[in-house]
Amino acid sequence: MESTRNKLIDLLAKDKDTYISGQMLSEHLGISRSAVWKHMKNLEKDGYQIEGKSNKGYRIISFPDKLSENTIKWGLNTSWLGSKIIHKESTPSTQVIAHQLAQEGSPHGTIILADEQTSGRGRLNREWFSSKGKGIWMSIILRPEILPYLAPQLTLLTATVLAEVVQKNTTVTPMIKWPNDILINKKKTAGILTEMQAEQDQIQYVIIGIGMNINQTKEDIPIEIQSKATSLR
Amino acid sequence: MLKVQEIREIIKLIDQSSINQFTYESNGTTITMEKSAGNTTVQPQNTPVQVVEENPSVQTKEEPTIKEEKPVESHKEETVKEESKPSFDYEITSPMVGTFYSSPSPESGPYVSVGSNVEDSSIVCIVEAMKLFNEIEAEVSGEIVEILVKDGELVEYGQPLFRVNKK
Repeated sequence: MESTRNKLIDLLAKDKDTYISGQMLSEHLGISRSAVWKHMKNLEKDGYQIEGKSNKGYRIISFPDKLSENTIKWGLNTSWLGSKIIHKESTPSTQVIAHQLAQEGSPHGTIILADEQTSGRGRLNREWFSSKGKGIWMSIILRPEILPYLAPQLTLLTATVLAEVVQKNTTVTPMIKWPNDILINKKKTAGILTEMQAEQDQIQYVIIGIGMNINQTKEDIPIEIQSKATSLR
Repeated sequence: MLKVQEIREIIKLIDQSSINQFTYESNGTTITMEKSAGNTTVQPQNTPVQVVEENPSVQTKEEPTIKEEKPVESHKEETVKEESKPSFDYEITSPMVGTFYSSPSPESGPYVSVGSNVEDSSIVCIVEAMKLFNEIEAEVSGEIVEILVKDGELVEYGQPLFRVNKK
């Protein structure tokens, strides 16, 4: 189901100005025209705006600005990381969901994202403010085949990647406060919380939690942490 | 308790051997023999108190006997210690070098304390290294009988953290 929907988005998004006929879509995807129509309806629920014109076909006129499993997967070229994505509009903590899923056997590379965390947490159960739609609140389940004592390196790797992504996509130069925080202008903008379940010689799973402040304005950040926290905005 | 003949036999054997001191311990009874300047003293005893009662004169006169009493006493103490230690058949060890935390956060109570019953998947503590938090599972079900490290203490790879009496 999901991959069909992704293919559909790919087809429609290839050329935004051309209409694609329902007939063509159903042939390409190998599904009936009514199935195509159902997928479209679901895409609209995710926030895509699709225009349908008789005798011409369909085209996407706008992409959603909200998160969903589809919108994240679309255009994501990945072999393992994010091959399974779970998105919640609101959750106490993606980290808690990740622990549950990992214990139930969720695969390596599973990602859990939320628009909002109602009790997001950092280290030592400290509170992490993760308000709706203002940042990236996610947890990644990993099952690396390395010895447990090497696992702390995953935190360093994540910090490095986050800093690189920020540097590439924005005009700011982030600083890493080793091993697990990203600072902009000496204020915290992202934090990493790595948690692990391991035996003596084998890792059951590692959960890398990432909280990144992106859209908060100064007013969005609680006063008590304004001196310490910032966002990409 | 050994029979008199058996003790006699042991004395003979020790006498002929090059052994200077001999201690035999069984069911709370200790027999210590020591050779001193060619003489052999034998003391069968049930408790250290008895020794004092039985040989008050010997103690004051002969130094070797006093010396002899010390090892007996320390033996007794060791035995007592071992008995008072709770029995355990499993040790939860640390999978890595790090800092031991007994509770999920400084404000909350510890995951487990002595007497807690744990299941295979019960979390007993956190070991943290470089901000990586490793929740340690019991991996056995049973009762925590001893906690071997303090909160905030540095632990080594493979270091025992808890002693468990398995169910």
